[in-house]
Amino acid sequence: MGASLQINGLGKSYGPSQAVASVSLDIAAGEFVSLLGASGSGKTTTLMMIAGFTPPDAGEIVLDGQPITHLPPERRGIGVVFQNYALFPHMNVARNVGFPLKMRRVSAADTARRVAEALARVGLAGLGERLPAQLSGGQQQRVALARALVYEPGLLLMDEPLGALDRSLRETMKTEIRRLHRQLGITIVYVTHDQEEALTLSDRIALMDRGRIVQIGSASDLYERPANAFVAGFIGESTMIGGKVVRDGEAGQALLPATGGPPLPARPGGLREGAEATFLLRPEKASLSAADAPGSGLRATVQDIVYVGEISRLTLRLDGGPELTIKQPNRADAYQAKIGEAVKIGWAPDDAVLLAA
Amino acid sequence: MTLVAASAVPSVKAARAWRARPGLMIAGALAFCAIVYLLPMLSLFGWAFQGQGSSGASLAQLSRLIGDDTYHYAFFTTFKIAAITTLICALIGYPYAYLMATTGPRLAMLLTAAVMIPFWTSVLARSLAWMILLGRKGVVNEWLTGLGLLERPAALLFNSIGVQIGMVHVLLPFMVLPIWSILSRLDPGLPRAARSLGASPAAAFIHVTLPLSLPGLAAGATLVFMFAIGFYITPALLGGPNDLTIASLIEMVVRDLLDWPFGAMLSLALLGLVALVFACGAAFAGAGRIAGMEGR
Ligand SMILES: Nc1ncnc2c1ncn2[C@@H]1O[C@H](COP(=O)(O)OP(=O)(O)O)[C@@H](O)[C@H]1O
Ligand SMILES: [Mg+2]
Repeated sequence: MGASLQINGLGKSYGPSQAVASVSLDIAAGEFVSLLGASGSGKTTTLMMIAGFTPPDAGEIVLDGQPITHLPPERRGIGVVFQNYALFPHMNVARNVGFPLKMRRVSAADTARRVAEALARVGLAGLGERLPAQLSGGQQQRVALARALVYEPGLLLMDEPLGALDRSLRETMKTEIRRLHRQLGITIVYVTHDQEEALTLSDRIALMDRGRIVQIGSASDLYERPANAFVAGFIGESTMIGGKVVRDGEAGQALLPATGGPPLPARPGGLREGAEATFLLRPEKASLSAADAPGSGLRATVQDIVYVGEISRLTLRLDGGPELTIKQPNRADAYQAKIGEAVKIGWAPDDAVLLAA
Repeated sequence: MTLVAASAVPSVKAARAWRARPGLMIAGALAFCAIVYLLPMLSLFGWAFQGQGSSGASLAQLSRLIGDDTYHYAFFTTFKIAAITTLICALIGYPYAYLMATTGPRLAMLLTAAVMIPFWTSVLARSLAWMILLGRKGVVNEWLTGLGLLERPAALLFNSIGVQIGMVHVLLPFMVLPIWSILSRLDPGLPRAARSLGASPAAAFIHVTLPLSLPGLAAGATLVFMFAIGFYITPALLGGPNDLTIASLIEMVVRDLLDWPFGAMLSLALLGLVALVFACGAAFAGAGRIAGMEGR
């Protein structure tokens, strides 16, 4: 049911500025891929080139083995959900959803049946007579989804579909989109600037920056194994410290901070000893203990503690070295430090990453 | 702090006094309107339904109007000219407005200027200009014969062709602007969505853009038709003896025949027709849009 999508070296410039530069993607049938990035990073332009509204300057687009780069949008058979839904205000819900079937000359009886099915699928059964203006934002979103799915496209494109909804509705719609994706087996390319949306919805995330894909991979790939400091900084919280790679024990590596202080053990990456690098540690990966507790660890002083509910966020200064931010669960069995206290901090070297500077 | 507050008090008081008597301000405007609009209207009614001598009201003028074919013919001519003008304005105005609304900013500016600048020129001046252009030895005929399209100069003046050309030229902005106003505000995502759902460019236009812009077309058509019914200068200057419109008829009756009561009756009939057209248009497009008071 889902269609595969290949994009090779897609590029688009507006005057001197490159909106999209050499974007390549290989998306399997039925996959859910998010284009994640800050505003202006080229997500919409990429999506509009796939949909056929923006002619690319370079590159090609292949849908289910067929090159579609130069096909007009109406002949691509791709479903698109626009950010503001783009429902036709002069047509009621049933006519909106039936529109793509009318364009495909489906008989009236079949149209009625399929429209009813599509509306039931998004939980809007019985609302066919309403005008879009008489619906809430969430309902309009569902109509847009039903309309884009009613002709059973192999590929669905969504541009910030939850951007206009309030928080609780966003959660509901996220669940809904996941359910539809599972049920229909459709391929989805989903554009968002919200990393949480991308992390929870997608099989794979393509992180974009200034018109390029910086890294593509699963949520855990991007979070645990960021390709560079940009990815690490964009996704999740982290402490990053610059310095030089040094040997640590037998086969291990560590980073000697440029600001001084003890070597920080990390997972050995592909970096040579002596190379400039950035040390990356996610705040929940470190654990805290009393200064005199047994076992290894680095000595540090608590600079600040912010209570955030399920966790507290602590800022520590390593003795003679840089600052680190860690998260400590607010549980009785976790060590609860006080501001100014001398403590010991440790982490599994595999949880810290060395990135080329 | 206290100084500022103290000095602010008198002006606040004055403003309150005005706000307390809004009637005072409105009364002036009402009086002006009464003198300028209501009184003439009432005297028009007075003349139209005036009895012989001092015998009160009479329907004599009305039955004269209803009973004579000459007058029917003038009404028919007026409606025919207005209808053709409206149709031509719509056929030219819609594509023009569409181009204005969808093209790049520079061409849009040029197109707007091309339609607005004549709009600000006097109708009389424009009609006189057409007399020069459309004459037997005018530029238009010289081009047409020069290009070999015509063997000898065509009669473009003092007939209904001249009237139509002149009126379309004068009234086109009233068609273009309401349509443009709607089209320029139309979400470009809508035809785009239609395309993504399988509509060809033509189908997207027919099913989405056109229906959504119909209120603008209706407003434009109503405006053009209303103005065309009451048009005087252009038919009088560019038309021939067969193009006797109601407005020319009124002028003849009042100025040449000095028949003020019948002139008043004709004027009221014209006014009634305009009101009828406005009502029809308002039912379709909304009164505010025709009067130009409503944004959307
Ligand atoms: N039609 C256009 N004309 C000129 N510049 C554009 C146009 N569309 C997009 N851009 C530029 O291309 C870049 C990428 O835009 P876009 O794809 O909309 O980013 P995103 O969707 O990630 O916010 C931006 O710098 C934007 O200003
Ligand atoms: Mg965007």
